[in-house]
Amino acid sequence: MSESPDTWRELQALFDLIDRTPELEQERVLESACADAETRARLMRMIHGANPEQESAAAPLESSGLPQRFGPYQVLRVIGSGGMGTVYLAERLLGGAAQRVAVKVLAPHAAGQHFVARFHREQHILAMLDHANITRLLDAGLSETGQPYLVMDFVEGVHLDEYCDRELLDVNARVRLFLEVCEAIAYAHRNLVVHLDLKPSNILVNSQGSVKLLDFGTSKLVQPDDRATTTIFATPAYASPEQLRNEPVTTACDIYSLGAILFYLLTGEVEGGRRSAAFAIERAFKEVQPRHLAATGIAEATARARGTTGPRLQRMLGGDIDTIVAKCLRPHAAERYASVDALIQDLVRYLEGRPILARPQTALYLGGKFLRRHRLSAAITSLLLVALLATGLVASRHAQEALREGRRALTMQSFVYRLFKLANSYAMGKPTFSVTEFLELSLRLLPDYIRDPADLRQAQLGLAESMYENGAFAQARKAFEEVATTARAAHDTGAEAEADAFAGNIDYLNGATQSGAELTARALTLAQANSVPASVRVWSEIYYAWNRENSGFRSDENVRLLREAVAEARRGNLSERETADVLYNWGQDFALRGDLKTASSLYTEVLGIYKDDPAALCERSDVYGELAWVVEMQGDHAASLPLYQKAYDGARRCSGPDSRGALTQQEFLAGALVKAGRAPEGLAMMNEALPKWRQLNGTSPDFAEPLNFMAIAELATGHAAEAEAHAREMVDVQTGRVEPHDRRFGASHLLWAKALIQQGRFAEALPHARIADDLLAKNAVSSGAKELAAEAHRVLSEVESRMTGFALPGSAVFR
Amino acid sequence: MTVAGAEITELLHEWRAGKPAAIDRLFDAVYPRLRDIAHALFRNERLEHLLQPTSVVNELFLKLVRQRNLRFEDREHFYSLSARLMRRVLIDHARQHHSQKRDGGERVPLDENLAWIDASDVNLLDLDDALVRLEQVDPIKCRIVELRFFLGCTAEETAELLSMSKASVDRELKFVRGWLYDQLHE
Repeated sequence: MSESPDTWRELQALFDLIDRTPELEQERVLESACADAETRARLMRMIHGANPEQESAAAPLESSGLPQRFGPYQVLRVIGSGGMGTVYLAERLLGGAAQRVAVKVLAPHAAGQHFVARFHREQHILAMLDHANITRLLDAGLSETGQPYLVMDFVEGVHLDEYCDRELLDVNARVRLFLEVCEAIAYAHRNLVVHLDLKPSNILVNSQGSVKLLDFGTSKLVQPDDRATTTIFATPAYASPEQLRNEPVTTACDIYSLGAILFYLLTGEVEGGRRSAAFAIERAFKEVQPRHLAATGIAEATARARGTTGPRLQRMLGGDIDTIVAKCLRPHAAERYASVDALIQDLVRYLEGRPILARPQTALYLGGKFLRRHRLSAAITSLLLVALLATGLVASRHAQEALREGRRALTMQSFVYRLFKLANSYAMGKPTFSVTEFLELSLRLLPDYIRDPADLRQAQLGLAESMYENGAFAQARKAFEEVATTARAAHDTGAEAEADAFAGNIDYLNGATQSGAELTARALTLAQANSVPASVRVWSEIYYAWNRENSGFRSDENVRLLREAVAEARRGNLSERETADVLYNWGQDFALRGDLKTASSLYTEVLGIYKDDPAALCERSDVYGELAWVVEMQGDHAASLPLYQKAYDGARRCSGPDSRGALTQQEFLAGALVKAGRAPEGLAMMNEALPKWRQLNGTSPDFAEPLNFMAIAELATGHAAEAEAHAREMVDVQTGRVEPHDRRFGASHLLWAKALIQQGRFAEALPHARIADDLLAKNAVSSGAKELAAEAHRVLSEVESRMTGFALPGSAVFR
Repeated sequence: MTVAGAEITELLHEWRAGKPAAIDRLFDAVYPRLRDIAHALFRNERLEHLLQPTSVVNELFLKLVRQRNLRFEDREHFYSLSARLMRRVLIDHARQHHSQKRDGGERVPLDENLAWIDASDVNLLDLDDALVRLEQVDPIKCRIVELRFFLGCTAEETAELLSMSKASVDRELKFVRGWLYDQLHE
């Protein structure tokens, strides 16, 4: 039946009329409003159909009846049902005693085809998950009707969020309970199991008040059908953006979900608002930054359930806890906590009222850091090595092929001659200037001079490693891949392991975590062969373990591997210098895990090995820089100063006074000098450094960093007008490139305000002080950031007290 | 025949400008892959298990993002298109099933948002026919049904997309609910 536009409008008008009328009156009102009996009958049917409560809301389950059993498990009743399937309480007779279990029946599409096989493959991993807060996965199978099911410990309890509200837990008690959840997740991550569907309804609290995590390991078993690559099984409200975008999953997904859960426990609201899967996916593609906890508009009822008042809760949620939650909820995985352990650490510090740990590391500093292996301080060293190899000097194992002394010298000479000749010609399109170009050229020439394929691979590895040390990752990566290919064909396990280890490490550096993990894992396996030299084995272990640590897969296995590498190095199987490099990387892992004391003693040991070795100049500078930071973090500013100085001196001599590395160390030193009360020296350093920075990257938002150190030094020495100009420039280089609520803007405006205050221009200082106070208070995580927030607040109060008596229209501060 | 990736944006624009022919070519452009997913999900499946719109939406997003065609200003159209695609995927599936075993066809999948239709005895193909009639007389109402029913948008989201108040969306839905009930229980 088709509707005409006129009757359609009338139908709707009548419907609205009747809908507003009390039920008993409806027929009477309708009769007077509509003359047509057929239309009246139709409207009454519509009204009846429009109210769902009049329909029997029979669950499809009950209509099809309760299943009797799943394998040996006798079904007792339904516990619940969710997106992925229905959960039953069931029991099994075991030696006369009834064992109560939860049986989760999965939709076939959720389980995929090879479900049971996968269960048996993963069983040993899941069986390893033996933790008081994790419910065990006991069994899996297919029912008689072919439905896949999982069997888990049955836990009687309430959902985490319900429990918190029922017990009227305050913020701290909620955080404490949440910490139990984190501990369980951290444990699972150490055992290389991710959860991937964390949400309040997957976390129960039992009658003893301890938490039990459900569904651990399900993610490992539940794989979509091959063709349904885009099916998402996580609950959109708690799923990480990368899961919603259907990208590879890591432990960072769980960290995101933990943040979302804590957000909900604290505010009673879902972080992104209650939204459909479609909207959640859109949000994931837009990479939206998390909301502030206090921005949810706390309702009184929410506050009461947390044993406090609205305004008070609002204030509590504005501080460190907001920063912690936001750090979990960053759209980019790399910006979240590196591990659950790091999150736990900050939450504990929050509960204890201590400053939160978060390394105030600059992008520049991070960018220049990578794992290294026995850096050759000059490319010419490696070229000489290659030249030697080319003449068969080093290849003593092929003694019968070794050439006579005269021939050897001649070959070496001609190799170097041809190399330099080509470098100065247009053979490569233009004369060769950079070290990397030089190395590339050598790599091309090598096959003409080295006949033995194994020797050739060694020489190629040497050159590729020099490229790597020079930061030419793309070229090095290509060279390693070529070596790996020929090595594999020739069963040269050592060379293959070495090439894979480096290629994998480069992939990690470039953010290609997955292939990085695969390559380093393969290197690790290959390196176990007896024929592989100790050095290759040690570095395969370090590249594998350290990169996993650094990308959030912290595990006891990593620690074991690193320890093994160190032990092998210490047994004297490696040169002293290489042993020092191993220890240095080990120290970095301790620093990463927050054990500053052990890190600092390892760094000291490394420095002891380097002693005055001029060839270890660059390495020594790096280690001093790390040590200075660790010492500063432990609170000893005075002791950190000479260390920063040494780092700077070393960087200057190693890579030149205008290099980025030297300039970075210089600004750290200048900052440390100002802090230590030697501001004029700091200022002089920054005066020298700033023009170089400007030349290097004067238009990048990173330029705000040297400007920041500059303005601080100027303020400390009374050069207020200059500080004002530099603070203004800081804001300029960041505007449009840094998010408006970024705390870096806060720091810039604070300096601006202080510069104006120093000049007695209080009215002008006020807006800057306000912005600074606002932005810095919101995001104070590290102790340094907290100091800055407190300072911003002091500055604002000072301006306000100076301004008392002035009447500025429209300003709430001046009542 | 597949439609070249760059063309999708153009088709979206045409569709928005009211050229109904564009929608069929759009479906050709994005549909084959979606149909694959739908078949994979439905395989061996009992009727109460439903196709989640997530996979379809995700696929669509990925497709458009990869082609750098996704402009979030076009949100309403994007979502309306996704909802229409969902409807088409489900109906096609039901139709196929229907022709295989002529026993009354497919039941409408139950979802939190779909509870308002008495699904147990409603045939999805009948529902589709009713929606065709609804669209002729009141396209906005049809769009609301698609967004809420097939894509699973919340009432708030539907209101936001169509620039209406939530109260209006609720009111419209109540009417459509009654109207559909009447149509499907004749």
